[in-house]
Amino acid sequence: MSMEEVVSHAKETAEKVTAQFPEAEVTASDDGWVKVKVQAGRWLDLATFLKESSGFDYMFYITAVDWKDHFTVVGTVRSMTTGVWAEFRTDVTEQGGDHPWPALASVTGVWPGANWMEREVYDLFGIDFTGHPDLRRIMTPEGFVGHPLRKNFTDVRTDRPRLVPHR
Amino acid sequence: MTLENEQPVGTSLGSVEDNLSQPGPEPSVREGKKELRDLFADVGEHTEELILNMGPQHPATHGVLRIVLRLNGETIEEAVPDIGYLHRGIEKLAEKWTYPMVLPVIDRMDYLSVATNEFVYAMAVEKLLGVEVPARGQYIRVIMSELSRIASHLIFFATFTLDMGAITPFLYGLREREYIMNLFEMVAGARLTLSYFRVGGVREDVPDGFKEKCLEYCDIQEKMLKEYDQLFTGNRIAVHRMRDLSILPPDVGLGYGASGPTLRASGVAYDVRKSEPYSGYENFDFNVATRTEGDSYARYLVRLDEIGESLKIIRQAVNNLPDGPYMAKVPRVIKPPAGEAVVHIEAPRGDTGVYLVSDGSTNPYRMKWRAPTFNHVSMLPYMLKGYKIADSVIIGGSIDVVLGEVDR
Repeated sequence: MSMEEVVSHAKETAEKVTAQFPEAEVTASDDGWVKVKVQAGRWLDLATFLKESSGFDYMFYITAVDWKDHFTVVGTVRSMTTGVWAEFRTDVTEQGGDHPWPALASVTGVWPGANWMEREVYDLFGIDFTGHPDLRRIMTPEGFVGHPLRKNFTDVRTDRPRLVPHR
Repeated sequence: MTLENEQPVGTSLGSVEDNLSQPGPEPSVREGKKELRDLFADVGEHTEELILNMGPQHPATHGVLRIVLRLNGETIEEAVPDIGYLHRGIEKLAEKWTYPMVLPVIDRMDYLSVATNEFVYAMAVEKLLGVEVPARGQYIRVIMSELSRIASHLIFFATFTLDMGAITPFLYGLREREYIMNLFEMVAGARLTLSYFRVGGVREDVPDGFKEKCLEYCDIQEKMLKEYDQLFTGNRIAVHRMRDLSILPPDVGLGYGASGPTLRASGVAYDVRKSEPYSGYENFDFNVATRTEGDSYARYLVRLDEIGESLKIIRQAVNNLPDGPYMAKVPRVIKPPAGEAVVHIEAPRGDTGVYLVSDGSTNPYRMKWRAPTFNHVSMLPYMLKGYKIADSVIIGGSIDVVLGEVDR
């Protein structure tokens, strides 16, 4: 399919998403990407809408960025029928009280590939995904303390000597 | 039994028909003798489930992959992959280093196809900087990454067949790969971890004589591909071993994020080189190898077909190699403006991507490496369920795992 078709499909998708999620920031770019920024509470609704109503069936990745005062969780999917890419993101912050970790609804039920992606984000950023079937650490060993990709992470392990002092 | 009754050895063998028509031992001989099943009469038909730990130090898991299998007899009821044994924290290291410093470490992601790793990272930084690579640089990059693809698929051919007990194809695959390693050595000085790509192009021009050596290799490889087919692809035992094994439906594969040959064997003709051409791939004439069966044999055939298609691309690129600079003008200190870039290319194992976030400093603020085999390994519980334990190494081999990329 040509680039013009992909871009027109992307514009169509952007309009559909705007109609369904009026509070979201939606942009369609000239290279066939739809970018959606949504509130954390509507994360799962948006993912379900993208999969069921817009045909985004290919799971590319889910990851996060630590902006020190908040985290941005980013997901990227592609529609194999129209060739459009969609990037959906949301901001989460650490909550106070009984549940201090940032939390977001899991989209594993929408795309099964999200299972390990969310485990990785949980392991390296410490973001909880509620409703995840198997939220365990995946990269770091069992019993590891801390979340390495956070900007304020320091290694607290004492069982192995450091040859080079930590900077 | 007396000595006279004993049959003399090697005198009365007779024909096969004679042997078959000989009456068996008299039933009365077996009376009162216990059979094997009598020893386990109290157990009956019930078998106990067994937890089997495969890896991380297992020769057939292609690296430090650990799979915990719950077995019922020989059948796999549940498979739980456990990864992270090779986690080196490259994404975290990248945040501490400048953009050019990250590039040699990127080689250690997918260590069997180094050029495509550097390719996608260099393209991501170029997108942030807004740099356009000159045509000669683009063509050299294409040649290097296609050679990498062939080398990676040859390793797949070698190890996958070895998993099935065929030793000769292993030697064949590694022998032809040696030609590619020599070509790499000629161009980049290194055989495995090249560090040849730079932001804006490649480190240096290809040396004199590279063109001839490259075309010579293409001819050899083309001839050897036919020999691989005679040796293994048409082998009846091999076909029976792989056919109808672990069929992956296309919708399931897409949901898991499968890509590359693993997805194309299920009938989805998704190839980034065709769907979103980069670095001059739109100038080359080649086909996307696709199969519809979705089984292990189809995944094997797609990879072998891709070697032929890559040879086509290399021939075209080498013969039409444009003149001019191989490197764009790039500032000495690479300091991209704040922003984000998502770049993905077709690596041998699938759709490799980089999500790069810049905050305007000399270091990447965040680098996410999207590894295709990470998704493929996450698919293993689905793919292994219900198959026999002897087939698990074939199923695991057919998705062509490289743990350096999975664990990062």
